[in-house]
Amino acid sequence: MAEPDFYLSDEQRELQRTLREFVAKEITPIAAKYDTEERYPVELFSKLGELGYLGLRFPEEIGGSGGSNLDYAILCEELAFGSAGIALGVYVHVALACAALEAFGSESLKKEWLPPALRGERIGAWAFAEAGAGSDAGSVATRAVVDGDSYVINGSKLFITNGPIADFIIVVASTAPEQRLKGLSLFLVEHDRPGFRVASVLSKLGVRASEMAELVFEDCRVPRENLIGRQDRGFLDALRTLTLGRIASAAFATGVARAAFEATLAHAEERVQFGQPIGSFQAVRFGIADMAVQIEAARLLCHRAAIVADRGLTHGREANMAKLFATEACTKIVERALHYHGAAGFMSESPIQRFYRDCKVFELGEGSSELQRDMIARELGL
Amino acid sequence: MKILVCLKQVPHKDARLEIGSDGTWIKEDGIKFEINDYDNYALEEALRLKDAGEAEVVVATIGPDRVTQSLRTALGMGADRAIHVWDDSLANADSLGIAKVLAAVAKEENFDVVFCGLMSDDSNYAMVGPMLAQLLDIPHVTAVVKTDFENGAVKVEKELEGGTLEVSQVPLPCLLAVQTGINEVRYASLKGIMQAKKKPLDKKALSDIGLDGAAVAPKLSIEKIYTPPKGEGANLLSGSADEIATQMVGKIKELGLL
Ligand SMILES: Cc1cc2nc3c(=O)[nH]c(=O)nc-3n(C[C@H](O)[C@H](O)[C@H](O)COP(=O)(O)OP(=O)(O)OC[C@H]3O[C@@H](n4cnc5c(N)ncnc54)[C@H](O)[C@@H]3O)c2cc1C
Repeated sequence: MAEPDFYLSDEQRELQRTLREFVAKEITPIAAKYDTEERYPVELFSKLGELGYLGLRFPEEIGGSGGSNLDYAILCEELAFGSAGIALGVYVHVALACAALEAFGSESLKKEWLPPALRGERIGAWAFAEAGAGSDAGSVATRAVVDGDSYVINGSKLFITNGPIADFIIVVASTAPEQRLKGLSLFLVEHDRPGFRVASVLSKLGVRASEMAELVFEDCRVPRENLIGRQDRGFLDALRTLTLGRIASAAFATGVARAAFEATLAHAEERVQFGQPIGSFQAVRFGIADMAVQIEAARLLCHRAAIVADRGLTHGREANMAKLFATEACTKIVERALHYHGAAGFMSESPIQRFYRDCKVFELGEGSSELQRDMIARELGL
Repeated sequence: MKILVCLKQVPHKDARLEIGSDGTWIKEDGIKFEINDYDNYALEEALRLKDAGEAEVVVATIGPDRVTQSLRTALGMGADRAIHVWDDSLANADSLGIAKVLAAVAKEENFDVVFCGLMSDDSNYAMVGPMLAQLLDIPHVTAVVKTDFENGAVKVEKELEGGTLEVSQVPLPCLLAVQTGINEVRYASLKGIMQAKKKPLDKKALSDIGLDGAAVAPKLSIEKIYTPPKGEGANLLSGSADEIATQMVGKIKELGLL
C-alpha cells in the first residue's frame, strides 16, 4: 500500500511518531491550563532540549542535532497540534533568536550562548516589532549608537514573545536611520543588562501559553561583540537567511487545524441528534470531508516548501504559498470545527474555543496574508 | 551484561478495529501499529541498566515486515541491535510457538537477563514470558514492579493482588516479565532516531535458528472473536448526591473492589 506520506524517510516517520507520543503525554494535557493562566511551561524547554529537539537544524559542533527543514516542519506541526502557544515560544527561541545567533554571531557569543540555549537552559527572544513598526520593518525607531567600545541602545519593542522569560534578546535596532531597512542591525542583549527592562507583560486573545512583553531599552550599553552580523545590514541578512518562518507558520497552522479536525471527527461520531450521529448528516459529512482535504493540501504545500529548501533551491514562492494557504485554511477549518461542535465547543473547557482563539495569529505573523499575496503576485510578474 | 528484550508489535491503541472476514482476528490492513505498552517498560528497564554501566541491549521480535518499524523505534530509544524473526507459518502461532522461537533466539547467545512485558495489549495471554523461561530453564518473575541488580543477582518486587508486593532474590540468568508503570519510559532523542538505521537489524528465518514450521505449529487455535452484545443489568442509582455516593461505595465493597 502506498503511504500518503511516501516522501518521508523512515527517520522522519519515527520523528513524527515520537513527537506525537511526546506531545500527547507532555503537552496536550497541560495546554488548557497554561492557556488559561497565560503562562509558559518553561520546563518544556529543557525537556525538548535534552532530547535534542531544540537543536534541530543546528550544527553538531555547537550542540545541535543536525536535521532538515522537513524535519523542522514535522516538529512544528506536532508541537502546534498540542498547543499553538507552546509551539510559538519554542519557535521564537530556536528559529529566530538561536538561528540568528548561529548564522551571524561571533564565535565567542555562539560558544557562550548556543549550547545552553539548545539544551533549553537559556531562553531567547526576537525583538523586532515596535509601536510604529509592524509590516513596515523600515520604520524601526529603536536606535543603537556607537560609543567607544560599546553600542548604546534606546527604544522600545512591542509584542515580543518570550519577552518576560527570556535570558537573551536579539534586538533589531537602527544604526543608520536615514537608510531605513538598510540601516538595521542586530544585537544580543542579556536580560540582566542595565538599561534593559520588561516594561509590561501583555495579555492576548490566543496563543496564551506563550508569554509576551513590551521591552524597553534606556541607555542600554552593550559591548561591540554583541553586534550580530554586519552593522546596518544584519536585519536584511537575517530576513534573507531565516526563511523558515513561513514554513513554520504553515506547519503550525496545519497542526492546529489537525487538532480541530480530529476533535470534530470524533464529535461527529459521538454526538447524536434526531436519533443519529450528526456525522451522518450530509451537511456535516461534507464539511468534515472538506476539512480533511484542506489539511492534506496545507501539509503538502508546507512540506514541498521544506523539501525545496532542503535541496538548497530558492523556495520563497513555495514558502509564501504554503504560509498563505495553510494559515487561511486553518482559520476556516477551526471556524467549521466550532460550528459542528455547537455549544459544546463554545464552552471554556472545550479545546475548540482555544483553537478558535489561536488560529488567527498565523495569518498575521511572519508576513500577513496581504504581504504573502503581494509577494506571490510580484513573483508572477504583476 | 547482555540483555535480551522481547517485544511485540500490537495494533495502535487509537486504531479503529474491525473483525476480519474469517472472524478469528481483526483486519490489519490500513491500521497503525505500535510497541506493546508492557514491552516499552521492559525495554526502558533494560536501557536503564545500560545507562548505569556496561550492558548490551538486544531487542527481538517476531512478526511480518511491519514490525521492523518497532525495532527501529527500540533502536532509536537506545537498544544496540535488533533481531527480527519471521516465517509465514508463524502467522497463527500460539504462545508456545512464540516462546519456542524466542528460546531459539536466546540460546544463540548467553543473555544474563531476558526482559519481556507481562502480557500483550492485543491478546492478553501473559504466557510467553513464563514459557520462555521454562524452555530456557531459567528462573522467572512476572508482574515485576521493581528491580535492583547487584552481584550477579537481582532483587525483584512483584505485584500481587490487592496491592501487596512480593520480594524475591533471583540469580542470573533470569527472565523478568515487567508490569506497566515500573519506570518512566523515555522518548527517543533526535540523535537516537537518526542513528537507529546504522545499528544492526538481523532478519532471521526459522531455519536460521534451527526450527521449522512443524516445530512451532500451534496447539491452540482461535475459533472466533466477537464484540460482546450490549448487556442488560445496568444499575441506575437514585437519590441525592450523598445517597448515591453511599450506595456506590456499598456496591464497590460488595464487588470486592475496595
Ligand atoms: C502572537 C504574536 C506574537 C508576536 N511575537 C513577536 C515577536 O516575538 N517578536 C516581534 O518582533 N514581533 C512579534 N509580533 C509582532 C509581529 O511582528 C507583527 O504582528 C507583524 O510584524 C505585523 O505587524 P502589525 O501586527 O503591527 O500589523 P500591521 O503592519 O499594522 O498590519 C495591519 C493590517 O494592515 C495590513 N497591511 C499592512 N501593510 C500593508 C500593505 N503594504 N499592503 C496591504 N496590507 C497591508 C496587514 O496585512 C494587516 O492586515 C507578534 C505578534 C503576535 C500577534
